[in-house]
Amino acid sequence: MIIVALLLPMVLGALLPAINFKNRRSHGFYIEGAVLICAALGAWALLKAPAPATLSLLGGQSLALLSDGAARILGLTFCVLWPLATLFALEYMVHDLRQDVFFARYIALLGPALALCVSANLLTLLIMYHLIHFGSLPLSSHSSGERAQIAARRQLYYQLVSLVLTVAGYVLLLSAGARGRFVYGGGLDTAVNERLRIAFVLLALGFGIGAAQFPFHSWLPQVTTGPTATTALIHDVLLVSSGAYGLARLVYWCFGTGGLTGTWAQWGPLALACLTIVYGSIMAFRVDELKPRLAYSTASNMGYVFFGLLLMTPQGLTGGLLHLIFHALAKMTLFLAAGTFILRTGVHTVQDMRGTASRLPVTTTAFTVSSFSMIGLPPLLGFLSKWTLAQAAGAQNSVLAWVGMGALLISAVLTCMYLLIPAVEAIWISRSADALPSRAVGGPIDISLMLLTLMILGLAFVNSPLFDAVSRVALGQG
Amino acid sequence: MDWMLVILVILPALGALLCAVLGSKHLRLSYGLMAAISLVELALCAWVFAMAQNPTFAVSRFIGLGLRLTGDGFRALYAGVASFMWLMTSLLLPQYMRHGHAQSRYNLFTMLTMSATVGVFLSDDLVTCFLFFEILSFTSYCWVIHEQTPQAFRAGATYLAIAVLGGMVMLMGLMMLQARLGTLSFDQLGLLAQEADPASLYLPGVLILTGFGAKEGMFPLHVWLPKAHPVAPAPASALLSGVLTKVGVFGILVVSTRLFFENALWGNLLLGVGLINMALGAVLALFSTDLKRTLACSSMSQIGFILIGIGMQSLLGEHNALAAQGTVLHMLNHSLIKLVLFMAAGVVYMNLHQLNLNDIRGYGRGRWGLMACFLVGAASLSGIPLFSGYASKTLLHESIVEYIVLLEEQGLNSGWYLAAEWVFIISGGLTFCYMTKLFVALFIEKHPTRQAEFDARGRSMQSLSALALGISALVLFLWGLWPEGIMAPLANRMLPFLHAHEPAHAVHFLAPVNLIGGGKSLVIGALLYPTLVRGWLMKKDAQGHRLYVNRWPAWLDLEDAAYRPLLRLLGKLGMGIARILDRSLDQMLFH
Repeated sequence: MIIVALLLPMVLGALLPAINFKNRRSHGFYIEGAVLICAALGAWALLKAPAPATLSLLGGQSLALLSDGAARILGLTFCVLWPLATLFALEYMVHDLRQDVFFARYIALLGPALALCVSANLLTLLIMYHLIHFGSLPLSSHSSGERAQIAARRQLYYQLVSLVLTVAGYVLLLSAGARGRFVYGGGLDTAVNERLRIAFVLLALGFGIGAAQFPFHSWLPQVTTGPTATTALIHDVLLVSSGAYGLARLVYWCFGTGGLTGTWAQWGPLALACLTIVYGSIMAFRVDELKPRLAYSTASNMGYVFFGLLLMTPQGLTGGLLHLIFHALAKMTLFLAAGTFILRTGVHTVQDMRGTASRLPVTTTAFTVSSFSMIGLPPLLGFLSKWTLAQAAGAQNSVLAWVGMGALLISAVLTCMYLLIPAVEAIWISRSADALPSRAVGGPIDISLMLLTLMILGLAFVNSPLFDAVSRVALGQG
Repeated sequence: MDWMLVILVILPALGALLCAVLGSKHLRLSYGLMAAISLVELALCAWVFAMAQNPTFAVSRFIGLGLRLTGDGFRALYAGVASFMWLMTSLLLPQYMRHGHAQSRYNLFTMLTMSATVGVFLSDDLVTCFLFFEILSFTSYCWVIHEQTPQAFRAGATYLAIAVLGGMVMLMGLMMLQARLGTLSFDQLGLLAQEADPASLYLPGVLILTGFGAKEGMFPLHVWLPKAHPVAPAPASALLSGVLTKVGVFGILVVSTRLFFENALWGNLLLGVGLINMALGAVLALFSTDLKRTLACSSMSQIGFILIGIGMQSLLGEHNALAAQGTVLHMLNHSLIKLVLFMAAGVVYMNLHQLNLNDIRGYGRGRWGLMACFLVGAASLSGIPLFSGYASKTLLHESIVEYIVLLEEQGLNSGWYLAAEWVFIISGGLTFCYMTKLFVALFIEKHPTRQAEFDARGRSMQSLSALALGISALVLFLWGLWPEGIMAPLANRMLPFLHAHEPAHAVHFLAPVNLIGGGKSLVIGALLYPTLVRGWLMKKDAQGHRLYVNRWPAWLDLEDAAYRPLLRLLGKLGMGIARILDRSLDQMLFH
């Protein structure tokens, strides 16, 4: 069953260019229907927790799939976000000539995305991780502009570095006589020695590239030149989350925290994470273009997640996973809202957003609410995850943990500035009416933005089931 | 009974939604709704206060951390005071906003702020407090920028920046406190802090103090206050000055009484900051030539008086009854006084659309109702006997004297506290002086050119506005008449929140010793007014008219001289480093 759920998106995606649609309406219905079916099936397969599926390979290696708590949390997030982003893309891509190819790839990526979540050993995870990243390249280079092509090439280079690092790490891991199973608390089957620590750092760096961690971040702001539908779901949610999820599996399920805590293999990546947090926020504040600004913000927020995960405590894992999910939700909303601004007003920079609120009420509301969530204004979600991260850091009571806490706060202030300034300018600075676009009619975009906004607001008040689930996972009980 | 607290918090938020739905087409209905909700809130608070059952409402899982509300004497009363102020200011709105813009936005955010304010005042742990505190920081921004002038946006930016920074610093403090003590509930904090090493609490304490202090205009984070309070519409100024500053005071009271109950070092810190606030605010108010700015600076000064009271509580420890009574009463008085004064300023503004003393002087001549209301506020603020401010200032003054006596009994040096007492007395004199300046300008002097036009204008207030101002002034007046009978018992109901005991013997406010203390201030003020204000702070223009001039040097503005350049420098530094890192690493790898 789980195999079907993973393959179906690819099948339905591949069928899309082959079908001849009578009109645009049925075309749209097919795409949205396909995504909804795939998402529903995926969600059902995740929740049903089917028996593990294993495929043995040469040399004692195997591919294995298993749906556990962590897989469910991220997988369900994807299952919720995918249809909403597709809904947005339907209206956003409507004038694109090659939209069939685009949507085929867009739908198909849900397969490896879910497979990444249910990977039950390191090899499977790595394959799926690279499959997602390389599979996203055609989407990055979908626009024919030169900037998009250069950016996609840059993404490819970075991904190749990541491939090299992760393969080197995995080979080193095998050479140390360890296995890459995922068991909560560590599935290496050997004690962690210095060689394994090197393997860990190589793998962590490899995942760090995927999550746009400093100093390997610069591909992410550059690929925002692609269509916003890609940036919002694929780049700034799927790709970066896959890196962070990979690290979570690596630390808590593969290596275990015992052999790493307090060693250079913890402090090194932790320091980089702290640096990313502050650095990403500063850069986000510095760039005026809206989409690169949000992309730098993603890098910074993935820094939060990495920081939490690398604290190597259950509370750190709770905070990291929570922030991963909340960030995915809020950042996708932000990007979709920004994409709508760009689509309907033709502006790309923060200054040009002035006074657009009266014409784009839904978009502005979505942007503002998700900004507040991103900032961490209580009672919105961002506050809960940041608070948990800070609690985890406080419990650590080490120098770097306090430094990280400072970084979190500096970044929170900067987040306020780089997100609130656009929101405030859009809402309160008035502009002469003729410089503004005409009031847009509600289409799929507005529906998708409204649903996302409602979800953010709803989760602000009803979030204890999610919090409990994540806490159980973090304690290895999920 | 417990659900009452939730209703208190949610009702205004629902009202906000309704106001948003009603929009700008049904403004009268919105105003009515706001007044009705405020009235219901007031009644509920009064009921909770009267029942004296200290209801508690707790949700353990809200935002993962829990939410706790309690309605004890202090909190129910203060939520009630806030409701009263919302009620009165909403009655002023129909006339004030007559020709305004974006009224429905104003209504929406005013009700949201009310919900958050009541939330802070009812909160029973620091997380709940922080939750509502942050919400009101953002919602009240809409008050500051309501006029949408360049000054308003500038003041708004400063306000938001300090609110955000303050909030984050406070959050850092809360995280540290949680890590040290493992709880943020008010009651448990008090218990655990007694066993903890005080040295480990100073850093979180100072961080939280900074956060709350930013909201109440505590030195050196006061820079936003004299700019933001005046640019808001007058009903909002009244709430900003009267209630929102008290939100900060509330937080500081909690930290001070729970974490540093008998801590002399903490007491001295608050006393020092309070003295600076008190004196600096009074001096700024004296120099100002703008009606609302004077009132805003005066708020800063009065917050200084309150901080001194809080500091004295920590210094006096077990003998803190007078200081505690003085603190809570001065909070109450200041709220009610600023309600009256800012609404009176609003009446002037909505008729003349000007606030500079040179432009508005003489407007109040012959307007006896306005004059009487203003007079009650001014007399009360100046601490004239038989008006409310006199009682609270006397208590605060007595607490300093009490500490000096205590030190002398133990043979310790009390020199610093004698100096503090004199700063206190002189600041009181300055208060009298700048209120006289305002009163004389508005109600006694004649405008050199436009007096005939002023006199010819009709009534300054519609009946609803007159009702709001009249009731507020009447409440303030009656409240001050019999301090032993009304104020002291009410203060005693509030003392348990401060962990203070009732005083061993009642204070006789009109006893000679107290009259002399208050009298010293009044004499200083009376001496300063003819010399300083009528002399140095006025000059003759070309036509021979005497004008008020602001002799405060323009460069002496902490925000423009230090904060903005510092922030720019930090920004440039951070961005420079980020740019170098970005360029070098990227090019090293791929070019």
